[in-house]
Amino acid sequence: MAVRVQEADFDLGAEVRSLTAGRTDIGAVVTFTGTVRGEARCAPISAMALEHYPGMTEAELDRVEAEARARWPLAASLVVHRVGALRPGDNIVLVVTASAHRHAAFEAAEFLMDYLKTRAPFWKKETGVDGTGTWVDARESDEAAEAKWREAPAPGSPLDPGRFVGRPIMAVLAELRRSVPLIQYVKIEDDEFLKLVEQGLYFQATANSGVIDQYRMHVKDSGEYFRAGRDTLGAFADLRTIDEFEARHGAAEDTVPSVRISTRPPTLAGRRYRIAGSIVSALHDDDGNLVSLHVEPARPHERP
Amino acid sequence: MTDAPAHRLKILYFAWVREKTGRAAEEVEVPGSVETVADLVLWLKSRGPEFASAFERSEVIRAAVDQAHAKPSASIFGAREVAFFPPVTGG
Repeated sequence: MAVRVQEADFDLGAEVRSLTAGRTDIGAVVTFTGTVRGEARCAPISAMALEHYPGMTEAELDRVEAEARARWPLAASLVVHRVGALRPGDNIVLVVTASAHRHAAFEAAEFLMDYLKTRAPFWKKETGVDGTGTWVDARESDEAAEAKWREAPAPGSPLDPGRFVGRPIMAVLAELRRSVPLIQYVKIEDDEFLKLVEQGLYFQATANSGVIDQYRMHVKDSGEYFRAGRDTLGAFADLRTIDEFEARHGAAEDTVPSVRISTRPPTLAGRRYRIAGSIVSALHDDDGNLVSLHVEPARPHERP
Repeated sequence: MTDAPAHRLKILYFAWVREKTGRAAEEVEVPGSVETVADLVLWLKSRGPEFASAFERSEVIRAAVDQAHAKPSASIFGAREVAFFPPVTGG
């Protein structure tokens, strides 16, 4: 409900008192305080400078807070982040969440910190005792912590692509339009496509049938699609590389060659598997990272 | 699209990107052929050794268009402000 960026220190007790004053609908208050460690990479530091992007910082913290409030029933929340010159032991950041019950308050506080660390435009520069300054590197573990939330089923529409197979593509377009804001219908020669960019997913109806018979899930952010969520990827959600895929699903039946067309970048190569009767093409980049999974579900008459 | 008109843009630099380019902010006239964040990075790199050095590892540099995180493929058409910075390290 409130976001502040300031040079001055904050008083945890005073902030909580003013947030909860006169409220009787709150049954749980969770606070997190981040402070400056006196040591970095096994060497002591004498100071830390925090730079930020005025304007965007507040906008991004507002977005993060709004996202938390959409996911949990919060009665009140507060984020205070300091900028400027700090010393070891000083406060850096305060997150307060208040709710009727503790679970929402605990989870929302963790979510706010994970998102803030990867999205809010702050940068730390540490000064060693010898006076040399070093910009702090972003940690992959922070990104992983944030990704965990992103892949959690979003509130609202669980999108299991399998349940749309066999249905007329136009009927699915009409249905999804209400819940999926960014949806695009494309016809290329005899094939029709329904592109759900934010869900990392497209449906395909082949050979002028008008009926969805295959779909593709994007496992990785690409220029065109976001990564599909856990509710879309289902059992494939934890597989990141083609080697992990093969370890889970056994040897491939076939390979998918990269196709070169003069005016476009070459398509991705991959391997083709038969999983529970469906044909799944796992497409990957040159480093072996999975990029997308193309699924042609089993048709009843083709079942073994 | 090379005939598209040039447009005026405020560019901001933060943290070590700011230190390497030697400036925090500037107003520039961007050629109409510069359509995306990635195009803008290429164009900036051609402006001098300090930019070439700042954007040398351009894959680690993040961008925001009008104060919202943006991918390299994001359009800068109609944008007022583009910022470049390292991955964020707040909290």
